[in-house]
Amino acid sequence: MTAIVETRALTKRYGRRTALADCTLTVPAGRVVGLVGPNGAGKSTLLQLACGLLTPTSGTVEVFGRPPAADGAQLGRVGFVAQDTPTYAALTVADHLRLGAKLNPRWDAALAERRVRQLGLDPTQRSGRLSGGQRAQLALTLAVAKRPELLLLDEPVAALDPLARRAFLQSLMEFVAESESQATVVLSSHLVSDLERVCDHLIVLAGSRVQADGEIDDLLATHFRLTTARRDTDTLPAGMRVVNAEHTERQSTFVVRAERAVDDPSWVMEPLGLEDLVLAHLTADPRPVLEPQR
Amino acid sequence: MIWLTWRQFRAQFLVAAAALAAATAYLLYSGLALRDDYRELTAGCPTGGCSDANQLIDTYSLPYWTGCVLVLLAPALIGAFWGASLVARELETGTHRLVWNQGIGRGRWLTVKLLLVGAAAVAVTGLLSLLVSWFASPLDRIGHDRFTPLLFAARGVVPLGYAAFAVALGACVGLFLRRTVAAMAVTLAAFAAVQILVPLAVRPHLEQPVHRVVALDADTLHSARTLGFTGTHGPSATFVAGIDMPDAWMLSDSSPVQDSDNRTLTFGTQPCRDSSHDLPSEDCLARANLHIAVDYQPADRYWPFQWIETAIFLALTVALAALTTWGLHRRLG
Amino acid sequence: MIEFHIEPRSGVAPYLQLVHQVRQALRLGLLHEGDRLPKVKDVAAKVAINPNTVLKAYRQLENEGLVSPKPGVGTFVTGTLGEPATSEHEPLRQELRRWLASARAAGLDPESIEALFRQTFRSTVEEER
Repeated sequence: MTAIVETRALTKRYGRRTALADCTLTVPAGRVVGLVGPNGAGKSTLLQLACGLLTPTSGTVEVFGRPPAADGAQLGRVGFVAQDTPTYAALTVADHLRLGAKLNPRWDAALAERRVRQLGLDPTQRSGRLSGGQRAQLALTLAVAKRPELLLLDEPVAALDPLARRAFLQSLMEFVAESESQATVVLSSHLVSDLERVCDHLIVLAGSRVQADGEIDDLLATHFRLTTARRDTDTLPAGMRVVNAEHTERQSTFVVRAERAVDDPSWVMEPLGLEDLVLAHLTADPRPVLEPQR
Repeated sequence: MIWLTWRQFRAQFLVAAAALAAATAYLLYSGLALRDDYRELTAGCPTGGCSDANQLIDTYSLPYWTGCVLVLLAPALIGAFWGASLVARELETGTHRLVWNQGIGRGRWLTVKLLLVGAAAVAVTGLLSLLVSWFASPLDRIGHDRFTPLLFAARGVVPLGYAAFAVALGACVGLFLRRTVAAMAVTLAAFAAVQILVPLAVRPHLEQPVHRVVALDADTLHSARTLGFTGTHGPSATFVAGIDMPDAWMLSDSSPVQDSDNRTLTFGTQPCRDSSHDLPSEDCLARANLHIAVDYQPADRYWPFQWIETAIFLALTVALAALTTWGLHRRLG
Repeated sequence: MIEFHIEPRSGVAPYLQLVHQVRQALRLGLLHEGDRLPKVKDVAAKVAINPNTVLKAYRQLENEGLVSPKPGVGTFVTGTLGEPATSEHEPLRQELRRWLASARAAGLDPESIEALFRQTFRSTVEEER
């Protein structure tokens, strides 16, 4: 499995505030990777480091084995849709397509125009007058018409209503299905249900550390909620790794990681939804969460 | 990138072009009328030095000063509106995250923007300066004052240097402040400070001023700009005189009057004392063999000074552009 | 042609949800042998789901012998679930009834019976694998 993005001990500080600390991870090729974590976990910082908008305080980040944004060619291979999907308010939809065509050597004009038509965007409309969902779609169009091999999306659907969100994800999946040698996508979000649909790989980031990392199907198949009479964590059988434990006077509820469900009359062991799975990993680390960085 | 810069910049440029066109129409109209009047005037007294000359300046004072103010203001406004918004607006609206992820580096992005907007600024200011210089040339021939600080900055090639500098200054300030309005205010303030500082502290020393002793004869006294005492009349008040030299830049407003023994004269020691008047009569003074020492930049240094100062501002422009490029990679990284 | 949907909160992996929906469609007679499954790209775009997930589901169905891909054309239904006709359900139901009665006689309440059934069912299925 080739790594498209690889970070080693990646750290970013703003003055005395740490936005991302000691982050080591790899993004495998050809996957749609969900980057999930609470606000301020460093998702945005990580993505901006990967596309070269930010430079690391220490540690390294490599994209396609090279530093990000090293030159025009490298920039052309990476598409980025920033948080709040900025576009030039005074420029029309058609102007934006022209911008993309002028600035990107591998620009796919036919794709861009087809997408704008499909989305029902008026090419003469100024982007400042578009709805949030339309603007996000325009930003996505700009990013995918570059024909990127890596597409980075920073909370693209966070500000959208459910309808626009679904439309955006449909567009995104269409791009993934259409790209010849399948593009790698990294998508940050705190909406786990969206990630579950569109991602096949998940990275859980909390306290700027990787808490869980793997194929979503594997994660779902190996995480269970185990409800039992109150007992200590270390009395559970070997082969079960406790992610999270909660106790009441009489009852203990564990989120465990195990190869398979183990039947035992003394407990109920059931599969765990992705959202609960992620939450279990997020609450596993009691360290305080930093304020979001913009 | 050129297209994008033009597309973003179109509206601002058209506003400037419209303003330039209006100024051109106005100054062209006034300038032609001025030339007619000037021809009439010089036909009446071919030797020059007509007494009506100053009246001509009064008649055309409105377009004359409008032109000067326009040339002085243009670089400042361009720096604030074009330069400051160049980088700051992108940072403010977050569009830098869009444009810096297209297939060109941010270094090239900045270079193209600075070059194009800088060129437009220089062109607009240059045309304006050319126009104002043309308009004012008859009046400058009468006034002989184009080397004075205010007019020096409103004529010739220096406004071009100012314009380029203002754009680079605006861009640099915008990068570090990241707020358009704040960047505009700071750019205006900084540019104004430079415009005050340069004629006071830099321009006089571009070349060693000429130091000359001028005898106060009848002619000199007649054309003297000032003649009198400093402060209140008493033994400590110095007797001073200030003179003008055509087209030269007098660095000393007035200088102490000295007698043939190089003694500085004060109230009470001046010659030709007259009980009824505080000021001695010119005729008497002219015979008293007095002199003053003056420092000035002679008229033939006008164009060298124009070029040197333009070069200084262009060098500052390059330095600011380099700083902005550095900041673009470092500070936002 | 069938339409897919995904229920994110079910705790069932999305690809398995697709597999179940194809089997259900076969069972309900909505799909017949020779029918073409929707294209991966279309499913991805319509359901807003990862194309890899669709591929994985189709591969799983292929492994079960229910569908087979024709390169460049699409994926076609080739098999049936091969379940015995509904008429054969009846004797099995009778047997289960008898078992349930003996479980009640042994003093188990309905919930215990359900738990016991599920537990046994799951472990048996796993052993068979």
